Amino acid sequence: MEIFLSALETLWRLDVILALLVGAVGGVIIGAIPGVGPAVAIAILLPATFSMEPIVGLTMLLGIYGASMYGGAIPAILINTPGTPVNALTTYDGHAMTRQGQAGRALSLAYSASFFGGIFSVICLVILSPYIAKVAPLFGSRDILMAALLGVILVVIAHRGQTFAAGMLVFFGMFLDTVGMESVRYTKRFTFDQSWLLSGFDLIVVLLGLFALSQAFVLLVGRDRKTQVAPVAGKLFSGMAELFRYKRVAACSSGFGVIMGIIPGVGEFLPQFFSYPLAQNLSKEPQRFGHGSPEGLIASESANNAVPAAAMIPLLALGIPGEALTAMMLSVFYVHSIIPGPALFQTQPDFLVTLYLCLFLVNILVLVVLMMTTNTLLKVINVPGRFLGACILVLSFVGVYSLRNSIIDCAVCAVFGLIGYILKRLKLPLVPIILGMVLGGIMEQRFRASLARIETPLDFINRPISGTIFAIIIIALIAHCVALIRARNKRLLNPGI
Amino acid sequence: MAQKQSDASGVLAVEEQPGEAIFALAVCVASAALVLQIDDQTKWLEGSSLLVQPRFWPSLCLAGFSIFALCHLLSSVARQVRSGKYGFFPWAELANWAQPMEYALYFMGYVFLVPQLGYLPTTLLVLPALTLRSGYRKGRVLLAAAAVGLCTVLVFKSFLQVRIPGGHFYELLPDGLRNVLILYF
Repeated sequence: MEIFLSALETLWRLDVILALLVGAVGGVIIGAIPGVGPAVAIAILLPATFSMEPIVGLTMLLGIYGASMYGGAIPAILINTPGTPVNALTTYDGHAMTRQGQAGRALSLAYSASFFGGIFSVICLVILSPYIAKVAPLFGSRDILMAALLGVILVVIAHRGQTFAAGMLVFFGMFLDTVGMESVRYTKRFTFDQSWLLSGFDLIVVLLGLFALSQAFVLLVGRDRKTQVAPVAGKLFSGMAELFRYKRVAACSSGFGVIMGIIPGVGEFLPQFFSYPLAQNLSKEPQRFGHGSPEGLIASESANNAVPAAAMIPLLALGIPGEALTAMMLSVFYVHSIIPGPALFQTQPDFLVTLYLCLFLVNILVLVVLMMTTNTLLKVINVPGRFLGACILVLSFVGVYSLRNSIIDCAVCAVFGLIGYILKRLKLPLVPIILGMVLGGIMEQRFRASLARIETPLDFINRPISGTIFAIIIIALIAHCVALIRARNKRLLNPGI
Repeated sequence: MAQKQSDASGVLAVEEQPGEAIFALAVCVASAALVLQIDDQTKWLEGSSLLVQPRFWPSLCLAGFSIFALCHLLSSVARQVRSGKYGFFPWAELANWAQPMEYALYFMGYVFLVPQLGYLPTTLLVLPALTLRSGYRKGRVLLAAAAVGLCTVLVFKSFLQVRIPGGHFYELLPDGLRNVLILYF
């Protein structure tokens, strides 16, 4: 109770309230503009949050993360263009409903499903916390090493059809992390006698290049969309009642979001691809999926929005980010010398409770904002792409230059921007590079820490936790191979597919 | 029902892109070049076991990078040969990869100008210039660009106080104004 009251006191501060508001409103706007997305916004804002208290910075970033998925549903439903990549499946039924003249109903359902998913995952986080607090300290170096390895393997196999490319990029990210002066024997690694390479590649510089600057290039080089969005008619409050009719779909989908959010490396994009077919199988009208099914819309939106809070679990408990956005947030912890991991639950429980409360409030705030301002928000969908690109380019400068006032950092960022642009043209994923950089660093550190207790390679997996995680790795690899063989056989049987 | 499921998985489907094989080849060459440098660029400490060598971890990363890069190259070439959709050198696509170079130069120009002119003047210059370059000619859009530039400076430098030094140009201004500009703009 004392911890809860202390958390409430923190929450009542003006800077925290402001961060909540900025995160919620800003996130909705960012999500509603196709072509920006939370990764760009968080990468740009990251250095600015370093001067804030950790709870203020994290509240703002988490607000943007969660709220952008709500906002991303608006263009997905109204103009068939997902605001963020995770709203891809929302277009299937959401836009179909708009074509049937039910845009208001679709938006209302999407908001309600998102709210349900968001709150569901925060409740799961709160319920799981005491257990996490008990289990997390049991994780030793070998266990965290295995958990990070699981993350690396899952990020590779989660990119079905791009496994080799994802593997290549994840190892590229891991290699980038090794560049510079290593911290144990103080020897130089791949510095090519350049003093600026001694400190290695800064994660934020790489992030800003790959996510923000590359997106600016994509928009500046591309053409503007021509869209006309009609004002949305109807009551946006009616979705809650309708959602109650489909509570089973919403609960199962949110459950998928939570489970997959917890697993490091899976990311926020995949849960919807598990919840959608499940909802279709459970539905009495499966033929309506893809043609304006409310259940399809609920399945995709509630699964997406259940991820942000769940993704905080591996980050807070083990210091292992599950996807790119939590990897970015990890640097906020490090800058303020808060080391996320097993000890955090014992040393700073009030910080964690405040974070949970913030996540809870963000969802309520976003819902209120959306219910009241949807028609006003429609104007931002029409912001011309190239103009947006110019703005992102200027904003990227703040992010990278304010780190160390280094022109070299800016040049490195520009190079990664060009690499990111080419990867986007080739439709190759960027996230494996970032997760490779973060998880690679964690793995090397934990690997070295484990060596004192290792005599044979089998000692890495002779602890109950590391052994279990290793078994999960093997099962995941076997399942991936089986899926590949099945897909190949299916292709051979039906060459047209 | 099966039809719809394939619809949903369509979002995950990966299509062949022009320039895939040439990119994979470039990455393969880069990874091979890095592997060749490993002896020069990392240290091997005599008397220490393999696992504690400073060279061990970068070697592991580069081995993984090279193997996956090679597999990616082989799969890209095989896919290209199978489909015959794009040539090995899709020149139009390669030219497209070079297109953002111009904007990267704009970015670097902005970076070099800020310490000279100051954050506010440079932003008010660069954002409308980029807007003009992007093809917008209406005064309303240029004004919006200047307004966005001003807001960016106000939010980040004046309000959030991010670390961006004042420009040399500010030194030429009278005392009072100079201090305000250095601190807030």
